[in-house]
Amino acid sequence: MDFEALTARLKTRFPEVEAQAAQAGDPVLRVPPARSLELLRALRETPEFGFDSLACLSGADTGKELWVVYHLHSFEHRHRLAVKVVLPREKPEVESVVKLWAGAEFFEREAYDLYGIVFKNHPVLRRLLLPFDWAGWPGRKDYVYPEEYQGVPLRREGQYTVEDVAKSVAAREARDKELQARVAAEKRGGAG
Amino acid sequence: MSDAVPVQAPEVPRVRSEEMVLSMGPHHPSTHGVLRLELTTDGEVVVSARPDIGYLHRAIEKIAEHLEYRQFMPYTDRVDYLCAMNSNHAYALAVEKLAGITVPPRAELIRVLMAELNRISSHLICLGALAMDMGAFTPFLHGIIHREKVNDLFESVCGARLTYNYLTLGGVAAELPPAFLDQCEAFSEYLPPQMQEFNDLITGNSIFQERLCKVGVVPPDRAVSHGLVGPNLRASGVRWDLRKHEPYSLYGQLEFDVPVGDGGDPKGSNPGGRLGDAFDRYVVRVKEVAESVKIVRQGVKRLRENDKLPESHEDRKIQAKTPLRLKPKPGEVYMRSENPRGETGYYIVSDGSEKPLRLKIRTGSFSALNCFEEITRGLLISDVVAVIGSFDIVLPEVDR
Repeated sequence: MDFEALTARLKTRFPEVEAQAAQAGDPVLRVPPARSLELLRALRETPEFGFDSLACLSGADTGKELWVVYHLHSFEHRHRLAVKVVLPREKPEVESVVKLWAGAEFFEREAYDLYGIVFKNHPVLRRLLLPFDWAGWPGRKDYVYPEEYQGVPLRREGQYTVEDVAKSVAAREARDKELQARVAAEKRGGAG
Repeated sequence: MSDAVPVQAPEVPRVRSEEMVLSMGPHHPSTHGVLRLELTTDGEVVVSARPDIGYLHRAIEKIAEHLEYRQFMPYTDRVDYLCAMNSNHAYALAVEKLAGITVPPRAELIRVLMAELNRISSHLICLGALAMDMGAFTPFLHGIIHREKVNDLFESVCGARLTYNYLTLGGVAAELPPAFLDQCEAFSEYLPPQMQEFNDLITGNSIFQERLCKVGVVPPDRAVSHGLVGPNLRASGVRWDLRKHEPYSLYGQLEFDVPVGDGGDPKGSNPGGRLGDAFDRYVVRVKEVAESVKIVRQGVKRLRENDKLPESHEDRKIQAKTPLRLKPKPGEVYMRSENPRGETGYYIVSDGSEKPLRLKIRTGSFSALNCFEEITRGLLISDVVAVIGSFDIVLPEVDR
């Protein structure tokens, strides 16, 4: 089944899902967090969908909201589907899918570790990549890099600060703009 | 004396067995400081083996959000440095799909050739390292010798021996040197007899087989549920290869087989084992090397035909026309390709600017470690080493 057929079939049982069209890349199915587990269970267990494999699970931060994106794949039917759950920044909670796909365990722990997304009913929701006592969610756009960890300074002397980087980026952009203006002026001159 | 009281046997205190927590390593090349296994053991038997990862976490995904699409290419080398060409390829495919770039045929041919050469060299390291873990040092050196030839080929193309940064968005960075195709062909002639020798040395060795057969068995349904990919999945009998079943680049036009595990089959290559055991994972990789050699030969042949075209022909270009500053339209893409360690997927979200909004890398070793605890329960400690080696785990790919 292709994306349109899958969406049409799902709409009858889950009227709240919506297909998200994009200007580039793959289409995505959006579903509210309250019904995500139910929908994913249906995708996993209904024979006509038969999504027996979770290819990828990603957490993401757009700056405004948090996402959990499931990329599903069916070995039997050879079709695939991307399902996106949008979560509010204040209380990002979604049901865990470890019971449906055992491979979700590490994926969900990583999303928790980097984005602070809480997966309810996960067997061991602990940090995976970072030390267990690390503070904050480094994947998020508003994360501020800490000055020290356990008394160990994380910024060496002479290393660039965030302000330095911002300054150099601004300088480069100004240079680019000047260059573009000059090129445009030359073009105008050439045409005239 | 005859009716003396019989001597009572001294009371032997009952041996109380107590679980012990051990940190395992270093055995496999990957456990030198970057993978810690927290073993809970009861005597020699493993109660649980919990992988503790993150020692090589470099926040590559976060770095990507601060770089333009082109600038990120060298970082993909470092995601999996045993097959940097394949990592380059996976990233290039994802961005090209997102931005709608068509790669010229000659560049595609070169890419396939490089990907398969790198697959051979990566598998050779895995096979040799597994044999080394099992106490046989010589096969590792054989693997390294053959890999050196591939590294020499790569060095002549791009100057680097480990992290190549050779593929670009929309093509490849440089034209092949004049003698490259001859050298490639010579390598494809050289390798099969050497692999025969390798097999005589270790694959057919009965001690080696005894160590791996029926160890770390992953049944097909568990392999699918755990999201195992690549050779680890095929060893469990699932015939799934993205090059064959979801063809990208030029793989749809090439001829090659997809070897799968056949443990327990009396006519197969693993008669004494069980489907999905460590020896199946080993044998699948041995067979894949032979398939890659087939693809290398076809690639060389097609490139020779391409060479006959006139210099100015469109098909002889190695780089598509792409804007200097790439700005894909808003949207998202999940593109996956078959790397030596299985499916490598790049999930890229674009907001229309020159930097990705989010870039996530899904790798094969990550899933292999996910199922590690379940597979090793109840094994002997020495078998845990065999299971690590047979999954072909590369830690920079796990931590990213």
